[in-house]
Amino acid sequence: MATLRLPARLESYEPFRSFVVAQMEREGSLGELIPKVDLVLEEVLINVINYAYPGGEGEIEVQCETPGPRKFRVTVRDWGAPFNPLEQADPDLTTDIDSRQVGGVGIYLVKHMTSRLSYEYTNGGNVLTAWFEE
Amino acid sequence: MDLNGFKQDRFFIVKVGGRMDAVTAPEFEKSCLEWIVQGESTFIVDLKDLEYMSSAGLRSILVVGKKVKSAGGALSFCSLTPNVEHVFSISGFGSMFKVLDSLETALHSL
Repeated sequence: MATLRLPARLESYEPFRSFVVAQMEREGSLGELIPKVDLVLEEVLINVINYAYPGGEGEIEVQCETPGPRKFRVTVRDWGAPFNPLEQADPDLTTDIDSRQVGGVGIYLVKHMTSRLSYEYTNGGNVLTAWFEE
Repeated sequence: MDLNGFKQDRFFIVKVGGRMDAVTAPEFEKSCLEWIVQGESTFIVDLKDLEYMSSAGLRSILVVGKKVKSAGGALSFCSLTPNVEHVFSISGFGSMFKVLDSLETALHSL
């Protein structure tokens, strides 16, 4: 399993992304999944970068692996405030532009792009795991 | 992200290419808000060369869309690539905004 740990800052987003895409390209058969993984990774990382360590410094760890043919799994860990994104209410998508709330779409996209999503708070950290399948 | 805005007929065309993510979306938002201040109000955003959009991109679009509407204008989109179209469709943006097949169609039908 490949692991990368970096500071929870916006500058870490590109290195995390390159790391995960490189793992997927190495596998060769995962090309179709790359756009989904790309999106989910950004949504999860940006959430952690923006909210996990209010007023402080912290780290993010990304692990990824290929659990089977045409499958991919990404785990994102942080040691910030406990936050379960799966408990967030889905945004109301039926409103017109005037009443549409800014934000809240990220996690909703994540739920749509993954085949399975799990969250746990363990050993003082948030652990979010996303499964992808073609 | 590549960003380019110009006047064509009575429209203001904004061409966006590359990736619209948390790093680049603020640039789209800032430029559009400046064009609105300069008096532009009828926008067609051409996404032919945009490969990727995340919720940060949607967020900027919504901010611009609200501003355009309160200025009495309109914000439409054309030429969505499959990935971007998927994100538009899941998020409901495809029904909140006018989306046209091509710039040509947009210029003639809007």
